[in-house]
Amino acid sequence: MRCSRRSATVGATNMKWLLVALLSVAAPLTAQTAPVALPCDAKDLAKGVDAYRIVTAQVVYVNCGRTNLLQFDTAAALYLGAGGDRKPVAGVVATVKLFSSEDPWIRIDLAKPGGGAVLEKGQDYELDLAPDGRAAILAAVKGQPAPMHGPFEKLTVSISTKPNATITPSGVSSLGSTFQVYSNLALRPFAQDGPKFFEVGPLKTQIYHKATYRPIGAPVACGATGPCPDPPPAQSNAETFGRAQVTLTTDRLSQPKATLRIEGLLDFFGDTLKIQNDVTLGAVPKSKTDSSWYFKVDHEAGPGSTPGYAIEAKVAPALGGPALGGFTWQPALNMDIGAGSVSGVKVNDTIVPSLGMTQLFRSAGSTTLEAVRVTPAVSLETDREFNHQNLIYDQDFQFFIGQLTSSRLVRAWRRFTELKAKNPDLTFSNDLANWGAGLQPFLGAELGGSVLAQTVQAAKSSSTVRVPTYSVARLRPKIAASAEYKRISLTFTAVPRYLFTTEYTTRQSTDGKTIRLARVSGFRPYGEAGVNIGLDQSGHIALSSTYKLGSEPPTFQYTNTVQTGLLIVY
Amino acid sequence: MPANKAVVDVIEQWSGQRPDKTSQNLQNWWNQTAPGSNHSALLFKPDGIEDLLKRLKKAFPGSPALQSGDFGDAGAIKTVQDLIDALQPPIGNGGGD
Repeated sequence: MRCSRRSATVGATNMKWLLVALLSVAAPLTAQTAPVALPCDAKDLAKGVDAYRIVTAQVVYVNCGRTNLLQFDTAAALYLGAGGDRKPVAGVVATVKLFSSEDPWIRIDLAKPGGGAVLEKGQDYELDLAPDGRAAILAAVKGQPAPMHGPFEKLTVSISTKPNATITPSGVSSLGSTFQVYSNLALRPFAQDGPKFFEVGPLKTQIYHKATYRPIGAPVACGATGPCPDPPPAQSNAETFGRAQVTLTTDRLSQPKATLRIEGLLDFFGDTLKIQNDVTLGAVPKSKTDSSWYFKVDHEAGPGSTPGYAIEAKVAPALGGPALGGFTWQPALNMDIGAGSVSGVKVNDTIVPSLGMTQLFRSAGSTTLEAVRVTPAVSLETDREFNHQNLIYDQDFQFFIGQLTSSRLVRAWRRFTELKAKNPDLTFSNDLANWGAGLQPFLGAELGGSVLAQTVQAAKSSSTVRVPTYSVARLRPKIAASAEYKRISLTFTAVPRYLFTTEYTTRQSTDGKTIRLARVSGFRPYGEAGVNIGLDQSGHIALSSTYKLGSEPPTFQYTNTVQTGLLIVY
Repeated sequence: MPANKAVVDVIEQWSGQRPDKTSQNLQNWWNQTAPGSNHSALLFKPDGIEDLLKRLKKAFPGSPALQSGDFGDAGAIKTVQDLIDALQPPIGNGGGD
């Protein structure tokens, strides 16, 4: 009994050690055999125009969507068909390499015994990358090369040699007149005026538009059966294959949407590409100017005044891209006038159209003074009655200081980055931060003078006064501050303007019957404090109330009002 | 022709960090890289877009001219991949042949 008990104890101990030994061996084996996903996000782009390119019957490019790949060497297996119906293409050897270092595209070369074309036209295929789980992968991690260790999960990529292509509009500078063609199959060479461009009307009628056609990537001229030479090595971007640019030469499309069709472009197999789809051109009026709009209709009240209405508007579109010396043209219209029954209520009464140029100068790496925006402009200062006409050179500097700004958006992204490390499924939302605040200094100068002497008549009598010409030299520092809590934002602007010269304006009696000349010089401050309550999620539409105090050129009418209204800002 | 790597290099200089994926939304990337960076006080629109346009024009003078309206909510260029697409000039347009 004892012996047998001892024997049983020894047996149990041995079993325990055997189990421990097995587990200790099994654990690393499990770690080694767990397959790793290949660093290729082909599915991210599978439905887009940049998923893959078939360049010849032996060469396919696939967009992995990664920017940090240094090496991507593996094999691939080719199948005819897709899903459960697919069949391996016998004898084909496929090798996979990165197109170039840190490029998202991989190149897959297909070869079969005896050479010749591998892919046939009009077929669906699948490629299994790393079918045996083996690959040599090197990626840049924090700037340093880091190998990825397998085994790897096989990745299936679907491709098709059926002729199909898409047409899209180009950028806003040529919207309605220039279009891009994307084909997953490389294009056969074509004449500049060879293909035909049609607009398909509502009754399926085709309206022909004269156009020129230019390839973006190298056209591929080879037969469908014989071996194709490699595409020209000058190409430094795989995605350019299968692309062409179409430019209308005599007209342009201006409707919001259109159905377009191109005939006469061939894929490298020689088949006609089917190119017909809807395009959206709705951005024509808006994006030609890429406007920044501000429009506010206010109900207005002031001490001892009859309530009325006021309109405040700003249009400041940035036209085009950088032009002269990196500056961008920027016409603008600032308007703050009374309307309707505001008689007697002292509004700013300013209309200032201007034509300027603007450029942002960023500092190399400073988190203190991050950038300075320089905006020289020529403006015409006038009022609703055109009693003032000051031609002004306006030089403005806007300073971006990191420590003075902590917007709600940036705070939300900071919070998102912190939380994302713990919760990878988290999606970004503005609501990750409740509040934000910022302070921005400006410095400006206004130099010029009134264009001509004018005789100004009182509103309700024949009384007149002559306003002489004068010169303008003003210093215009400005502080703009804001604080936001959820959809509520507070704004504060102070402009302690100083006039170095004496300017002239007019003052009317409250009954509008007498008018006199007034001299203005020295310190002429102006300020606004407001509260906006966002009505929509994006913050484009808000209820707004603004208190205005002080005076602004050219009238320097003293303002002391509260304006409440609807604010639309884009 | 701008290579993909060259375009991503410009985005890295612009934002201070290198995006890992070409599907990265540019506006989100600008905002995401803003905290603690040298552009925390600059909005994507108009400041970030303007600065990016300037850098692109300098780096790729032969590419199609882009405008601020090409970016943001209303524009067609939303991701790194969209930007790469938009920068490819036709052959014989100074960008390659």
